[in-house]
Amino acid sequence: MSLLKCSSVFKAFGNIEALCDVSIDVNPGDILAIVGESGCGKTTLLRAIAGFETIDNGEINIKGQTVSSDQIHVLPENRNLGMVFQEYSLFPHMNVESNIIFGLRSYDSIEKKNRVKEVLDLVRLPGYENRYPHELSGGQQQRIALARSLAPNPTLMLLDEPFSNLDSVNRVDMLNDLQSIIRDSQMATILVTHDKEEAFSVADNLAVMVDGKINQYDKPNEIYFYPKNYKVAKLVSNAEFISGNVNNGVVDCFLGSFPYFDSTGQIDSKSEVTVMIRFGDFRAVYDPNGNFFVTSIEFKGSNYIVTVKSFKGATYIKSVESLDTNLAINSKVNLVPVNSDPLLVFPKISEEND
Amino acid sequence: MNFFSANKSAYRMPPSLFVFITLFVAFIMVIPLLYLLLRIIQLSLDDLLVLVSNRAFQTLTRSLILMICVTTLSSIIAIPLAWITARTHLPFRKIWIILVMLPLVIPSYVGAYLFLSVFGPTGLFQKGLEVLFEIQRLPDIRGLFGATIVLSLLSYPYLFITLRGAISGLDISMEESSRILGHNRFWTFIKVTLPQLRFPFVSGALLISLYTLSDFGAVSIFNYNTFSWTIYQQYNSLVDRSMSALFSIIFVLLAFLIVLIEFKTRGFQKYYRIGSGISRKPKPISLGFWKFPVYLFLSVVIGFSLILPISMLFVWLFKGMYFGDSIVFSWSPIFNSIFVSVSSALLIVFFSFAASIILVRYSLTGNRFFESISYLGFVLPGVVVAISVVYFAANYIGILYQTTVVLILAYVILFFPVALGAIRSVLLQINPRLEDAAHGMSHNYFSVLFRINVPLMKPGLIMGFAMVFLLVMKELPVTLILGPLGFKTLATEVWSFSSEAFFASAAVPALIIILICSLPMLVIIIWDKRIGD
Repeated sequence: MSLLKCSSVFKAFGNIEALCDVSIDVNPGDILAIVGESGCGKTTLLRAIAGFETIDNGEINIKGQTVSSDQIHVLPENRNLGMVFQEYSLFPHMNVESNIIFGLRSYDSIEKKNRVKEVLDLVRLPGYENRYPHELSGGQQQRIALARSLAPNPTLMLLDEPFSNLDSVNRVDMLNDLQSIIRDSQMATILVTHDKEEAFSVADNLAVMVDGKINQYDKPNEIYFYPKNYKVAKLVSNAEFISGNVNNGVVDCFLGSFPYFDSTGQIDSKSEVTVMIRFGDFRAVYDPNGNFFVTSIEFKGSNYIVTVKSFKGATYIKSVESLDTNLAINSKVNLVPVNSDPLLVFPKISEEND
Repeated sequence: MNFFSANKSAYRMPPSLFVFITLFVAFIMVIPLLYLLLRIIQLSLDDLLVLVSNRAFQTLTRSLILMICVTTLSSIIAIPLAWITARTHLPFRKIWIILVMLPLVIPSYVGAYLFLSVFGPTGLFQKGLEVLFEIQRLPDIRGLFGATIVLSLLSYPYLFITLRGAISGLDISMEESSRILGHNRFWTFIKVTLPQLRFPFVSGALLISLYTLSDFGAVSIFNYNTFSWTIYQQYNSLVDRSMSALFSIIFVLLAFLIVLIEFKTRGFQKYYRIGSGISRKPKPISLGFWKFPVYLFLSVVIGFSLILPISMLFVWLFKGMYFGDSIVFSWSPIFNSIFVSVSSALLIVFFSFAASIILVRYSLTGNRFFESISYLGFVLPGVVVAISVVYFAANYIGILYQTTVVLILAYVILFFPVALGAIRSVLLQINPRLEDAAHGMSHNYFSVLFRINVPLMKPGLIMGFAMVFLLVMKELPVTLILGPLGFKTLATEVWSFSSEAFFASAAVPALIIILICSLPMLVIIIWDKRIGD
């Protein structure tokens, strides 16, 4: 039985459809990441699950019990969920211990002490009982917030952009920590984020949301390699999109003719398409008669990212080059495919850069 | 030019005009303290006996009791109002907010005499009851009871403003965390919301406590002897002015003690400042069934604090006209009031501007000292400021004694902190690099001030002007004591007519004060970010 089941959830704020036919399923121990740009409805979905928003239609089930529908609304305090907010929201007037005990109402005082110790060990901050939130760093505050939500053994953990207030160094550490804390506690978790790397590295399942709709709901690698549409592809990858034509099983574009793969199933055998060129699909090779030239070279430590531009078009293509590259700015180059994998194509999109 | 020190304003020389102004303000601010010190040095043994006399003790207890009662009652009014207007789905919210803030324009002596005329021994209410139910006597509202009611109804907006600002600034995810951890709305309010409001509550309560302690109008009309009123009576008796000085000493010590208590509480302030502020506006709570009690509450508060006083003024005015009472009206008090209000507001805003530049942009020795003494005006009650300025002027600058110059100097002592607070806070938000950039485009110092600082600081300057204007317009004890002989303002007119029970004649200047004060009040409401949504 699934822990959480959302079936065709609808929610509108005035004229804006925040959630449109959203269905998700979370099983015990699962980590589901919901990715999307800000305003896509991902936070609304999380808040609807938590009980801070009512829903207009559909149903939300927790452990088989309906907690939200057009008729029913179980209050947040009665849902037995854990939630970590973007701003951590530790109570500033209570120390760490009181913050954690706050959610442990049915425990006696010895059980409370023990549980506080347990969760502090789990988040690797043992002995922090008497600290006040303002004495903690951002990362520590976040771990305490996590410990506080874990303490009452919630059915499901909800994380709302938990890393957005951390700097990039802390972020990577916390991401690894969080993953192992969640795995250790075997807590089913929903993580809402706008950061695709975060989502890919943590999640068992990924839901990509665009304009209130879940556009793709699958394993992270499936979504990465076979994005179902242009919007998903744009959201989950570092890629350029250029126009092309498919004909006789190949796609023609200004880079040449290549085999293609249609993950949408909507492309006729002969039509105009948008071709997805991933970062590093092509290499820049020095050629005095080349049609492209180098516009910038970024040193990345283990390699260079070289950006090239065609003499005609305005599209910039990036390639990854080894440290011994002989390219310089304005070098004339040609682009050659790194391997013979098919390129992904999508129905023609008007907004792409050409 | 040294490239790296170019941004550090501290390296530059401060403009000498502004330094001079700041020193001058500092000098006048310490006059009351010097006067009190002088008095303490001159104390004889007999005087010390007065300090521990029964009378002093009684005055102290009376003042404290009134202060506690007013603060309590204002909290009972202000806390629900602040919460309702910040969090619920109240229709016409903006209008309600303006209405509950407007009682600030009613001077306490006006409010008190109107209450007395309605609920007093032979007031309208009693007469009505006599006609209807043959009730001959009502409990006398003079004394503690009446003073508490009137002062609370007129001062609760101070607490309302700070609390409402704090409530709308609260991080809503704090309350949501509490809900998801299993606490319902009520316990969340008690355990999470209220503790976070402690600091703003204490600073609002401090304002009300000091307002009550230094109030002169209401306590005099209700004949409740607090320090302010006792000191004034002593002073006016002309027999022995050292008595008033002695009481002033106790009074100022008491005020300092209260501020000290507030500072102790402020030590916890840092607990309330973590995280990066609010990210989401709370969803307004719909009132549902509670709509009716809420409307009732709002109507009672606004009815008694605003509508009753203003309509009573009209009643008195029309009654007086109907019965052909001789209503004394002259233009000079209006001109005098506007003249002193505008000139002291302009002067104080200019002084505050100069001082804030010195305080914020330069790290000079003495700045910290100046900062602390600049807040004396908050603590010092009007009567104490007035008698110390009289003493000073009479003894050292005889030419200016009995002129409006001395009067305005006293206003500077009293209201400088108000304007400085408003103006300093806007200057603090301006990045000094903006000024550096303008200097870099070869504008000289004053050109930068007028083309960069003045326009950017406009909200604070306007706010400071409006607040000082309002306060001077309503001010009574200082004007009574320091005004030149025969110098009448609207405030003194209301006071002298109403103390002789010429209610109809008092109604005219009272209405004019309320009318004139409403303008700066609206400016304050519009410019104060804490009030806007």
